[in-house]
Amino acid sequence: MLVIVYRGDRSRVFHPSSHTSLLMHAFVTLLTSDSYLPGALALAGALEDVHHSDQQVVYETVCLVTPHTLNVRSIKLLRRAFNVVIGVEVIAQPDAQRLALLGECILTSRGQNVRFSASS
Amino acid sequence: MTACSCFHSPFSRGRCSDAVIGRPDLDTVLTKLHVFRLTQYSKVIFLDADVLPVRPLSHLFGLDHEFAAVPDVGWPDIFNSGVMVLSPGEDKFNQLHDLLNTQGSWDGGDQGLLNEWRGDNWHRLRFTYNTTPTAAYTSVALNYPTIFTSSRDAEAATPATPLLTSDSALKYLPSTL
Repeated sequence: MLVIVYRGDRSRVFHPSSHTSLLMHAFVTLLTSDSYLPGALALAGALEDVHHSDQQVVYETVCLVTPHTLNVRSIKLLRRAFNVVIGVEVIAQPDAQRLALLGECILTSRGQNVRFSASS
Repeated sequence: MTACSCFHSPFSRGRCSDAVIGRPDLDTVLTKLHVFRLTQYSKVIFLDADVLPVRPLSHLFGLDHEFAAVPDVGWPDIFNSGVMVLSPGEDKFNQLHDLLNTQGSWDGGDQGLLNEWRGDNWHRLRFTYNTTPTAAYTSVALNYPTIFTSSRDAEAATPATPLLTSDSALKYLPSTL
């Protein structure tokens, strides 16, 4: 189900010939909506910042994305921020009504009704 | 965790935008399960897109535990799935996929499914690795970065929220955004 792999523009990536004996580590996040793009970009920037002085640890930064639900512009910006951007299929929620347990307002994908939280 | 009491609205879908709902992503959170298929990595630190690291986290790659996470602030018996240290495996993805199709997720999201899958078999990380948003902890985490490792903002996309508009986060965003 992994469908597309975009190689990012960032330079902190493995050189296979010199690191074949090292275990591969990765920071991974997921973006399924454009509205969370600032969060993903801030995460990538902060990871680089907090590990700036720690060159001993070799890792990649990976962003899983769902191309069907994202603007192409978002994916382009992610490619600049992450080592690797991987396109995946959405795993849909088979029973969306259970989302109500999260205490959130939900819009059911199939029903005609909009549900609001009245618990605040 | 507060149970949601709901009423049905006569509004049609067309009158209710994602902006009103506020969390258009919730029906796609199970997509997170794909992280277990990244078998090219021996160890992965998964971070939700609303997590802001404020101290190094890379030492967690050295954890011996197969699965580690931080207790949920609303329900500490279970872990919060916004920060997880895990070892990928196709078999693990298949187990989760089967569990999803047979039992489903008891909270409708990835956190319920992942907790059902792990049961008590998870290593508990300190709370400071995932200071999920409450009025106190989010701001404290930013003021005391030597104590806290990462801070979260569940409404990261909302411009008015303090975390993402703080200097510590804004500097990472392109000016055109």
